[in-house]
Amino acid sequence: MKEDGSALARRLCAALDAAIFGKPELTRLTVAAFLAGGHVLLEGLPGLGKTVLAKSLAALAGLDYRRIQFTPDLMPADITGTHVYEDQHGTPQMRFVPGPVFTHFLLADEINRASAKTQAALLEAMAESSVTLLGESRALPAPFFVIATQNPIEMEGTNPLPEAQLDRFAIKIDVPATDEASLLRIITERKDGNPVLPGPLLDRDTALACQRALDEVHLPQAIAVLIARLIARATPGDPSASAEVRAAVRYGPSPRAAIWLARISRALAFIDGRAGVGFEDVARAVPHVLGHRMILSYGARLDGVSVAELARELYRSTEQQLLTAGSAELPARGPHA
Amino acid sequence: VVGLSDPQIEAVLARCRRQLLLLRAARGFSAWLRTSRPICLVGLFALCAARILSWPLSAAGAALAVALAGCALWTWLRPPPALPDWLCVAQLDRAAHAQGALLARFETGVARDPVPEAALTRPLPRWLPQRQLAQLALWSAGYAACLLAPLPERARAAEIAVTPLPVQRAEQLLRRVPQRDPQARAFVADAKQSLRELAARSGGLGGADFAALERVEQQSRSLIARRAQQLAGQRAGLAELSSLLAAYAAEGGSEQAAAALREGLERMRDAFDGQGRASLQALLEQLAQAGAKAESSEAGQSSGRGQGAFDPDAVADLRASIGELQQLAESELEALSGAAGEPQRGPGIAPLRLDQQAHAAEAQFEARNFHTEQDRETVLLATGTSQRADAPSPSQRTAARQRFAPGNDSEYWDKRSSPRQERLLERYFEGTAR
Repeated sequence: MKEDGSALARRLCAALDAAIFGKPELTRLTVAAFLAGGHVLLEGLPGLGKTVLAKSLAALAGLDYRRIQFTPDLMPADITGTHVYEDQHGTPQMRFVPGPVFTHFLLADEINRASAKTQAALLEAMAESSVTLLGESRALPAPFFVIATQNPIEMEGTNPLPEAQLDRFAIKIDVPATDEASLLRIITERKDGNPVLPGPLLDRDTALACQRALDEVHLPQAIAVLIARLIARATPGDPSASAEVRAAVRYGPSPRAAIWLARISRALAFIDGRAGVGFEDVARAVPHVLGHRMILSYGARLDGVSVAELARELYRSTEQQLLTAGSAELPARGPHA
Repeated sequence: VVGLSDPQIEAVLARCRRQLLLLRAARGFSAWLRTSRPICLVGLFALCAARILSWPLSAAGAALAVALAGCALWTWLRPPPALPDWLCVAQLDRAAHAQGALLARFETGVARDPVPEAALTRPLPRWLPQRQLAQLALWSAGYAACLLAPLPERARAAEIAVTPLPVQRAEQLLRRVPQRDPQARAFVADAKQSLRELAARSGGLGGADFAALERVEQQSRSLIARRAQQLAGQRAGLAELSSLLAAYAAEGGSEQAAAALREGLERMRDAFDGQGRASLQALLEQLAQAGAKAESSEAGQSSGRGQGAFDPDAVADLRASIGELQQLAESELEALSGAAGEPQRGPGIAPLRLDQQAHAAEAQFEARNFHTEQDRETVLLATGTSQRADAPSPSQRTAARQRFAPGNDSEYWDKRSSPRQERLLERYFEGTAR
């Protein structure tokens, strides 16, 4: 199943590459997050293909898709659903009307424009894959995948996502600008601007099987130690934290970051058709997993420190330290363990 | 990616295991060096101090070796955090861009992903602890410099072979033994050889050595006593001869006096030599001629003064010879029997019976007089109990050895002792005298 799943994942990526020109890393990371069961926060200027990516992925995966356009007047019930009064054959009763969150693919467009209360309505859904209303919990369909988008411009009147909610996203991807060659392809190959997608490549069961197959990807002890040390060194209060981290970072990543870093690395190796995670997978995932979890200090923000670049530098130094001196303080695991 | 075959992957993993062993050994070495760094530093200072202060270097070297061995034991018991088994595999995996394939093979034993050929040729990071080796070389150089650097003459210390006191005593006794007959000469030669061997013994004297010394002393005393007896007899004979000569001169050469004198001269013939022997011979010839004349004129002479007077010069020479012989005998007797030149036996605090009370008294005495261990060493050295001393320069050493003979030690120490040592010795011996 794993080999089949890897092939399917690669086909999914190839189809997405055909829909989103010139952004292969974006498509791979999004598919990796989907396979890993995490949620994605896309940040980029309008028109860069965020919505197209979400719609294309949902279509290719053959799963239900809903879109919520977040506005300041959006209420939590508009997301989770609500109970409505209904007179059924003379018997009055409250009937639950599920909100758009009850779907496989949810596109939360411009999520930072909604109020904090409305944003928080997504918290339980994203973390627990369930919604609780009037004391009654309702499970969301599996797989449940949220792609949220936000614009880095027009920030007036917006509510930046709180750190707790940011942490619910497995990865955050800065959508890069489209290059000239891709633009040329867009205007020559798509007269109406919409991509032509093949039929669904997956179905619900296949998608779930692919997610389960991810657990079979081997995570070597060295990589696990690397991830653990990386997260520890990214925390300014940790004794092993570097001077740069102490100076620039106010809050470090949580243990959830380590979990998602390992899982996204597994997914990247899975997509590449490999049975084990390598250093390269972690290096690819680090800026996207840690980027939104390391809260910069005020001075670092003023200095224009890039958190993604900081995470990359942290990875480089951690890997060098690990492979130069070894990680003696962590237990070693012998061969064939 | 062109993957390696199974045997090739095994070879790569074996290379990683070897490298890990070397790394662990280097890490242990580094840990030992780190642990022993303060010991090395202290040892270096101690060695410098020992050289400057003339302390025994062998003890410092042994202490340093024990300390370094202790550091090794400490490192063994409390090893540094162990290097993980996967370290070298991870290094090679990263260097060869194997993307985890080599790590997965190492940990699971199954090669599901191809391992690139670069894993065969990529070098592993160096394992030699160059910094630590350089540090070790620096330490060694420091120690070598400390051991080999020349010191000023006055600061240099050396061992002086001091003859043990019992041997000195036997030598002194042996030196008084008269060597007039071959048997005595043979004994003295043998005894000197034995004493030389005993004096050169470094580990102290044993029971057999003391027995040999006792035999030498007994034989020496026996020979000395025999010679003293001879000298006493000779002295008595000379006195008698002197009185006979005086009586003969006073009686004007009577036959009775001449006969007594002749008899005395004959008896004492062996006692004279040189000028005295010639004078004695002349006197004996005159006595013989006088006797012959007396026999030829026995009928015509009625009185007893027939032989006439001796040659006054011969009588004077004989008297002088007798006087010299008497003085010689006196002085030899005095040398044989006198206690002059007896070697110092140290402060006379040791009782004849060593019991607990005696030990307590000795400890009290030492506490009163020895303020430091150096004081004690100085005094014990001066009294011949210790074997070490501040040595003179090499050029003076031979002369010092010659001077440091029994009986001359006080002179030697007067010349060799520093003012502080002299004050200490004075105080010590004053305390002893009290």
